[in-house]
Amino acid sequence: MIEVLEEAVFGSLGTLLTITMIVIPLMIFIETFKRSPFWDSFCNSVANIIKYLGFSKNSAIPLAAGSIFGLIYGAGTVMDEVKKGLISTKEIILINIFLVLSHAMIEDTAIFVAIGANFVVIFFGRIAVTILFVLLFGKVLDLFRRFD
Amino acid sequence: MFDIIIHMDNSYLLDGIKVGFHKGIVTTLNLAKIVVPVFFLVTILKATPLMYYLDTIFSPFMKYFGLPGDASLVLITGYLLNIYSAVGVIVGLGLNSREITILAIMVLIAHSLILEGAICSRIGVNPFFITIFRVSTSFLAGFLLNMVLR
Repeated sequence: MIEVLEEAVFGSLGTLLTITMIVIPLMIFIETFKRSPFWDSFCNSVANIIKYLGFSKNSAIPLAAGSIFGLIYGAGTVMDEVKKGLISTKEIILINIFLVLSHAMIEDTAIFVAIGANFVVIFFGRIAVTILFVLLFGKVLDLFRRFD
Repeated sequence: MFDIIIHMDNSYLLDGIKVGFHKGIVTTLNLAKIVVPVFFLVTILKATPLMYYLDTIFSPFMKYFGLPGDASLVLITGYLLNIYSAVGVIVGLGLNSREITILAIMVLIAHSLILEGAICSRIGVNPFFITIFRVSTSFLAGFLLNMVLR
């Protein structure tokens, strides 16, 4: 029993140490990035990329914010844009599909890499699944629109 | 004059480092609060017959993802609770790198389903649809990754 507890203590402390070493620098990077002039140019390049997925320019900030800072932050910016009346219902659904599959892409991915997951597979695999379903739902929603 | 411009330009750096460090500490503490107890619980659970039953019940299903039956505990905690508790279970079970990668993508796609479903419904999207969609996507990703990954 003592051996089991010993394993639990050292195992969990080791894991936490690894995660701490990764999470703190990452958080500093993310928070600095959010405040830096590069954030705006990042949103612009996101706007250029997402038009191929069927999004308008107005979705750039929700998608950029949500995919980096997390679902709650992304949902907040979606509601801001909805209040302005700039985003269509179809686009809200597509943003939601995108963000539930890919959010907090840096932090959550890093935690799993810290415990031994393959970065390339879980990062790009997730992006690939997200793009696939956003394109698919875009087509499906267009189909429904044709009937009403 | 120039001093002010330079100062203004870089003020975000100090701010970002301060807030980022604080958030990093908070995230780590939140993680620790969950990972350590879950790790203990799983380590103790491994010594009981409960884990054996879990393993035998779920292994026919989990083999589609190339995972042992007790890894179902990772999916259950990840889906219902959050990523942190799933991390605690993964570390406690002592899985290998391939299994961790498959579980990671499954949990990253679908996690905290209750909480995040509530967030989705605030934007105006049906939370039940989103939850079913995420769980099935998670199964699909795990299944495909098991076939592709060596």
